[in-house]
Amino acid sequence: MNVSFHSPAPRTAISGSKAHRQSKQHGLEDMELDGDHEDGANGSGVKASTLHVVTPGEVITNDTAFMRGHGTYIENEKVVSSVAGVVDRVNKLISVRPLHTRYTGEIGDVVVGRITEVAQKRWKVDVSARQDAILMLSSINLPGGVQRRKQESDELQMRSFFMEGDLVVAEVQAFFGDGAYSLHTRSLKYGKLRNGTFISVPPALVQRCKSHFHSLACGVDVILGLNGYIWVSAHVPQNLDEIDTELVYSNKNKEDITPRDRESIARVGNCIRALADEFIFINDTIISFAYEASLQYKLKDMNKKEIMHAIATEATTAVDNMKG
Amino acid sequence: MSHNQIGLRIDGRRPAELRKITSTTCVLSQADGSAYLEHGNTKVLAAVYGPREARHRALVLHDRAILNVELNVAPFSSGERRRRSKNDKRLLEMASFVKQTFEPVVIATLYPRSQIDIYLQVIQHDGGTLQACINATTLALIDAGIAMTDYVCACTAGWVEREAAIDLNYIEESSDTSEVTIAMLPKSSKITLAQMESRLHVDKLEEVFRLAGEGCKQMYEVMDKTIRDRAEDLARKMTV
Amino acid sequence: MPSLISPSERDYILKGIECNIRADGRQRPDYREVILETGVISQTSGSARVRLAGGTDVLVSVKADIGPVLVDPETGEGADKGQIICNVECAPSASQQFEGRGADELNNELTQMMTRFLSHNTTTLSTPSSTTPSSTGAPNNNGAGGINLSKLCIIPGEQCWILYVDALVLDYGGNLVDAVFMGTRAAIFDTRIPKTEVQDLGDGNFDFEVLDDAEDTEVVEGREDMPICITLNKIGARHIVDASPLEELCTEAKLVVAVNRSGELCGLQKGQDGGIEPSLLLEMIQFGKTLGQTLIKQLDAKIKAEAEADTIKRQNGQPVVKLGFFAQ
Repeated sequence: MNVSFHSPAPRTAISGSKAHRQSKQHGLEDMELDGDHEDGANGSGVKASTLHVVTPGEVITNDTAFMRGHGTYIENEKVVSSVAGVVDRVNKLISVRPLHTRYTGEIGDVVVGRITEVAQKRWKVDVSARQDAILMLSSINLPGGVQRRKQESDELQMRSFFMEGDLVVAEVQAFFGDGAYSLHTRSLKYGKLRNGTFISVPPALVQRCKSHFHSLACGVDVILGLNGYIWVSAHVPQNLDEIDTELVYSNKNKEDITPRDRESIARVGNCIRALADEFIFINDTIISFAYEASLQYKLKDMNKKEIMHAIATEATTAVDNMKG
Repeated sequence: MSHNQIGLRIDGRRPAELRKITSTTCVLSQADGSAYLEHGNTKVLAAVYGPREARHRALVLHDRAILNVELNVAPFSSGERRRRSKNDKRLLEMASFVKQTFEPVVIATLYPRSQIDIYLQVIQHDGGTLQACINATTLALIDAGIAMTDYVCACTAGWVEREAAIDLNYIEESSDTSEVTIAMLPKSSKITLAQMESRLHVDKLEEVFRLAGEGCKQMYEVMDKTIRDRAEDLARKMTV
Repeated sequence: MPSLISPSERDYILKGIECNIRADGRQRPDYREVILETGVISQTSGSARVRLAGGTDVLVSVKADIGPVLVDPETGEGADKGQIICNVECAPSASQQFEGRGADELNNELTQMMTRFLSHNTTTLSTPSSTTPSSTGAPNNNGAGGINLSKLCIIPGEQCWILYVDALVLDYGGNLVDAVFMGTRAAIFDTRIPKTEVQDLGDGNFDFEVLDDAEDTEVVEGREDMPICITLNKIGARHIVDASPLEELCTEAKLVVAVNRSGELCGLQKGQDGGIEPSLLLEMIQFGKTLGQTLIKQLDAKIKAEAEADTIKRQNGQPVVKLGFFAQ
């Protein structure tokens, strides 16, 4: 048995901030200075020294040539921030990215979600967005032939595909008029999640990458949903050519998850929690480094705050070293 | 309640001086946004959930988010222990003041068909609960990344003895003082809430309002620092 | 607070517990890290904030007030005793389900449980101590609740101290009951009651004076013998402690074991719909007892260390700063 009590730690003091604080008057000049590197929409790879942080009501630029993007509004022809966050500029489009917020998606995003409601011909899915996403019966692969047309009997057995509580990995396929996301699982890599455990992190921490499905060297599969929902599971070899479509909707975990697998899954999960606790970007590289760093600790000690901190620190250092 | 010779108030403040204000965000782990704020010994915790799927379909608005505010006062919050019912009219009224204050400021049209829940918890009461609730809500909403046209900063002011003073504490409040609470958008100096419960001579009103407005601007400086420090801290962590 | 879980997650958690590797890597009897601070609410007689690493956040306040004694009209008992009045409230910030009147049932359940476990005082009632054969501690005359209520009486038949214990649940990450009781113990340890001076006015009339010297206060007598709660969650054929919210969703049967430092059983409560076989029940109680004693030892050591550090600071004229909500 293992019980430990600790005193709370003070918040880490904000030391000499590298991010320069800008006065409201000369937002524009700084915009021009920032102009030489244009961070993409995902905002990754921003150098700390050029961070432009704004808060609600702050004028970002007086220049009427700029267009307003997310997180801004126009008042008296000025672009004003409506959230606290980092200014992103792509050509003439200015947006502000809040750091701690619900998921805002784009078409093509890979998300992990939990079914919250089964309705007629559709499921409602919690994807940590401002409203539940919709998965239409017509947007899933039906068992018994990928291209089979949907029948009335399918509508009657919606729960045999997905029921309340089920976790799915899906892709954002479109937006509805009210801003809700429409999902689809019409690829063999999407569908019901099995053989593992669920973790939730702030959505801003998951970067848009080429792939969100990773098989780590330690024999653990990780799906990094862009909505901050992450699935960590035992490795299942994937052969996309011949998958039994009946199995796609099965609720059964595979029989041969070994204690070793479970330990690795728990370890990877704790690494992700440790990174999220420190608000560090989460991708397969840093997870692997964190995993390596974690091996010197006993699995059951990984819930301790100081150990989590040590793992996150070591992982970020390793990433920095790799970048050179 | 009298000012002493050099014009200081009962707790040693000058008339236009706020109590010690300390605040921080992100204090709860499950909420989308949270903040804790102290006006001297008045202490309030705010949690914001959302925008999220609306719980009652009947209430859904097709073009905007609905705001829902619930205010609770801890039984141990004041000198005398007292449990308040959830239906306490005073609390319901205060919750509705908070809701009305934020409705014009939150850009709710960005979040159609959803719901934003604001849960306020008064931990300690030493005067000026409404202003503290409004200020904590502002911080928690910004922490949750919810779009707002501006901050909302609130401050009380009243006629204490012979002059106007801001941010009244419990003793000043309870000695039959005329007190107003105003909430202001610091950028445009627009007032989104003005509330007064007792008699105040109309000649004194202007001075009281002017001071309260100045108090709001002082509040803005403190609150903006909290938000900016936090945003810079997170941004820096993310760019490692 | 999640309310949904998928069948495969349930199966994964169940089999993990079977082979003693829980989803977050803990073993069955492992607690998450507990973060504790006392003296966080200044206007109270004693207070504490307890957080479990998974998110559970509980604030407990103890207020000592003077009020009339409560005499049982039938038995006439209670004339020479003070009172403990407990109240647990779950704030909606912990879960949307607690909004409005949503938490009423849970609040009532937790309040009643706390009242039962803490204010059980009359030794004439059969104290559960007789059921534990291995009572090793000092003899405890204060009943299962531990706290000496007679000491809280100021003038018998008239005035007494009433300890109001208010627990406020601010955030939910599983294992509420244990956290509430840990916080309560810490808050009671932090509590200081002013001394009173009783004057005999003759003719059976008494009057008293509360000494308002901050130095001249008393601790709550019998606080060491207060019970603490261990919640055991039966999942499959095994049981775990300090369940996470998802583990709680997999729980078939829940057993709350109240135990004091001497290892005496001070209360039991079985919850949820699943049954427990008698042999497993005994095993669970035994386990809860052992774990509870360890937990009390460590908790008390932590509380003592903090109190001593504060005393040293006060003696050196340094300010005692509590982090409260400004903690990480």
